Amino acid sequence: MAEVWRELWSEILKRIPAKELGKCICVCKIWYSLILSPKFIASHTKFHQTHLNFLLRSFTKPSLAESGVESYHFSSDSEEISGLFNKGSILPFKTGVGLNFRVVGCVNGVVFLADTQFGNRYSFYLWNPLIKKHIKVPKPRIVFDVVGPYMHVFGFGYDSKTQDLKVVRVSHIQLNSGLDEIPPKAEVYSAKLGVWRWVFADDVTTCIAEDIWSQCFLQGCVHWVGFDRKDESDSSFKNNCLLVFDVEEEKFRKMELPLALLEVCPIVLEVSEFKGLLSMIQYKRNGDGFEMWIQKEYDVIDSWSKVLSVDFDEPKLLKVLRWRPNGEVLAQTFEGELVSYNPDTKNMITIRDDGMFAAFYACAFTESLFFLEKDCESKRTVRLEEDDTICNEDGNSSSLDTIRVRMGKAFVILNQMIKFRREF
Amino acid sequence: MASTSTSTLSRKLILKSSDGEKFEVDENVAMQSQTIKHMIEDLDDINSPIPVSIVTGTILSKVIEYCKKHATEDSDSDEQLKQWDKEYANNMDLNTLYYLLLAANYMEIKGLLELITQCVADMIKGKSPEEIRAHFNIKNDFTPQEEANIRNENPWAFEN
Repeated sequence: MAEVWRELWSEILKRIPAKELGKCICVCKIWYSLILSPKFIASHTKFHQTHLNFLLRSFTKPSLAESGVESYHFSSDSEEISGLFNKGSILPFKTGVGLNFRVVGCVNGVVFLADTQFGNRYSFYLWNPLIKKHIKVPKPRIVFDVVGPYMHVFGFGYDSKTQDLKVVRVSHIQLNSGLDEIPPKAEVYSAKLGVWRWVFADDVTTCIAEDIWSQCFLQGCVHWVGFDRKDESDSSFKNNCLLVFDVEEEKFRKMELPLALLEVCPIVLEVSEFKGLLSMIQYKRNGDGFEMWIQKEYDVIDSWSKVLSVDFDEPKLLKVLRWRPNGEVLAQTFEGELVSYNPDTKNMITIRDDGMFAAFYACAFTESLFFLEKDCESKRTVRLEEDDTICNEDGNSSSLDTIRVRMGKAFVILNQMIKFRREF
Repeated sequence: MASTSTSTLSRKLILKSSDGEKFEVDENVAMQSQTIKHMIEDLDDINSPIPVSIVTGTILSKVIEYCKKHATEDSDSDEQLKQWDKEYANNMDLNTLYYLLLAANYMEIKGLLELITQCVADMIKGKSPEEIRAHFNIKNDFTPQEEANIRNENPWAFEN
């Protein structure tokens, strides 16, 4: 009978929002152990998943006296977005260069953040902004000191079979010819085990579009924009595709893109998700518009269809952040504004105008209790201490002067990136 | 009662509660319980009473009330049905809800189980740990130190 009641209470507590469950763990020992069990946390998260809730990151412009504030806000997209900024979680750690982290992705209420924007840094975090707990991900296997120059991309996904969050990293080592080595090297980090390990990628013939890469986790798989080389000795591209990594099986495969996207420069393509469907964004030449494609049925190539085409008179949007349930497009402008654009009325509302370049990021988000479990936490603390000795380049410990110098360098790179996308 | 076939309409089943009370119900009403559905498949004689062994007559009559409402495909809109569900659940005291929960679980009636679990969940929402314990008569088996530790480790839960 006790087992039946545990099952029934689990069914009841599953329906309580994550934040309120924090109070429920104080009620009694049975509730405590039930709510902290990985099985409960997984089914609770699944129950609350909707396409309406989303996460928005903002990063205020740093001044010489103060570094920028990186904060994360989450709410239902039915609310007024400006009201969202009244509540949120400030990121408890900083990047080495005083800029914002790259948000690789967000799965089950956990954000994967990488300080990889400039230089060879190995500072990665898995962070649950609701319960404010994080894991510092250790140094991966492919590092500059070992392999020399390389280019890499990350993916972040969830293995529902083992109820484990996994980070996957695909690295192309640079050959003497200056070209990226194919096949790439791939490694996976498991949040449960706390270690990186190699995964088989010898059959991968695709290059991944780097620098301004994007990734999307959907249907148990991570997706990146990739392409084939025209020939072995040439860095030119043909046949764009999606490189897909099955997080459960830990296997790579390729997925076809619509014909219209096959031969464009892969750097103008972005893979993302809309209402649970795989979607592609193609930025137009000069940044004066974009087109959006959606795969209406997962992995059915014929179901790709163009759903949106937007043109502006001048270069306007740096990045499309989210297609909102109300039909508007949330985006970041070249000027660092956060805007909501209505494709039908062509009306554009500025929500925030104090963002840094690439300061805003948005994705679907489910408030969850991942990382609440106690026994994992103790293991993690040990790991944290180990890692801190490796990654001592922390923004907090750097002097203001070094930050300034680094930021100067960072701005140069950023400007080059904007220029590149605009000119292309 | 609408478009179900005549054979289902004409058939009646007898459910017998744990305390021996018998209820005659239409087959399509009883079939909302997956457990009874499976029992009938194995049954040779449809006329003999089907034992619902852990459910008392008082609770079984409430379960049947729910199944009757949800078996009919009459003019009720989804909205009206939701309203009916809400009133049905709100009229139960906590003890009855517990027994209904066990019955819905044992008889495998998905809709009823969802309705009652949601109803109990709504009672938890917005309450402090103390209020939850008082409402559900749950004994606090943490030592004051243990409880303080949990609260200190999870300040996020008590912020507004």
